[in-house]
Amino acid sequence: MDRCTLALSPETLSAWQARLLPSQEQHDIATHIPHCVPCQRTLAAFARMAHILQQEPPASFSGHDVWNVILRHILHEERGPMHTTRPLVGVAVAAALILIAALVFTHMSKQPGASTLPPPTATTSMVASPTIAATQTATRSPTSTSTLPTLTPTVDPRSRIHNASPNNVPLFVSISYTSATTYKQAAAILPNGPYGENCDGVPRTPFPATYPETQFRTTHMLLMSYATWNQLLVIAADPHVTSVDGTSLPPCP
Amino acid sequence: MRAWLYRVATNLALNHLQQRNARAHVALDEAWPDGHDIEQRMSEHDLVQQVLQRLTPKQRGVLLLYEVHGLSGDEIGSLLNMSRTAIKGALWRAREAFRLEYLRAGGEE
Repeated sequence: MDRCTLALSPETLSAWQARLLPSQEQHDIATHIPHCVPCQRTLAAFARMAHILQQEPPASFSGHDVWNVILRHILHEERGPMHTTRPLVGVAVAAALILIAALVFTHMSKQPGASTLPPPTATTSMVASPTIAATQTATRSPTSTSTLPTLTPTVDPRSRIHNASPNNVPLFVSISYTSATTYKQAAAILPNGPYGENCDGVPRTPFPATYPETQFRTTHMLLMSYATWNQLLVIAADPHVTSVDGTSLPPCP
Repeated sequence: MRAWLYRVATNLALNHLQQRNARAHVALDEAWPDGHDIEQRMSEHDLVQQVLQRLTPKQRGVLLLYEVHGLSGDEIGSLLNMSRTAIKGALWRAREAFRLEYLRAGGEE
């Protein structure tokens, strides 16, 4: 009965054939095999097995899950580093945050009077310009829960008044309104109401005999007569009004 | 390393699909051109398939990659993320399992 003088196991021979052994061992076994019948027999059995498998049509291996095995391992390789590095990243970030907090605390504690620093307060100061203070109206929104008053700034009403002054108020003024103003809103603003715009039943030209709502929609203008300066200021301060102009009416025919 | 793995896997898959497509519809006598006894080959084919099915997926993978697809031990180890020692044992266990199952199923030694 032949015996392997090196007592090589089939597992070692399998590894040798697959070149999985250290180079020196690979070399030693390679020189041993030509003189070892048992090793040759074992290798012949491997060769026969390989021959059996290689005789199979490649298509016959399609039903096996060798590709699933490979894919699973590739995916494991893909996921592996991520799974192992994510906790490390989290620990590093947490450590960095703690370090930063410690540095900030140390720095703050070294500041003179740091412990007496007042807490941050939100203060709101409203400084009104003297030139516009008189022109601003402070109104509190009834629905607002804020304790701060809501200022609704308006322009100086005097800047809207033309061809009129406190000492020279013409008999007639034409008031121009915004395009969004309705006729009712426009008429309500005028304390004396719109001017009766006819001459004993004859329309003044170029003004129409009446200022119907349809006409107002086009002109966005009303006439007023015998206004006082204070009335003009109130009218000019209204947000619907864009301009108050002293004017003279065409004479009655 | 990852790119290399993908390349190997892709090449293997492409070769596999190419061979499968090329051989999927060939006649039996074309599949075994040197065979005289097709019935015997069919029997052997069934036996091999039966034996392979009795192996674990890992054993099948290692065995087919080495014996059929011709990958080296190191290449299989890299592809399956196994150490040289692990692939050495896995290849041996796959070979031994196939041999034992083959004999148990009536194959000739």
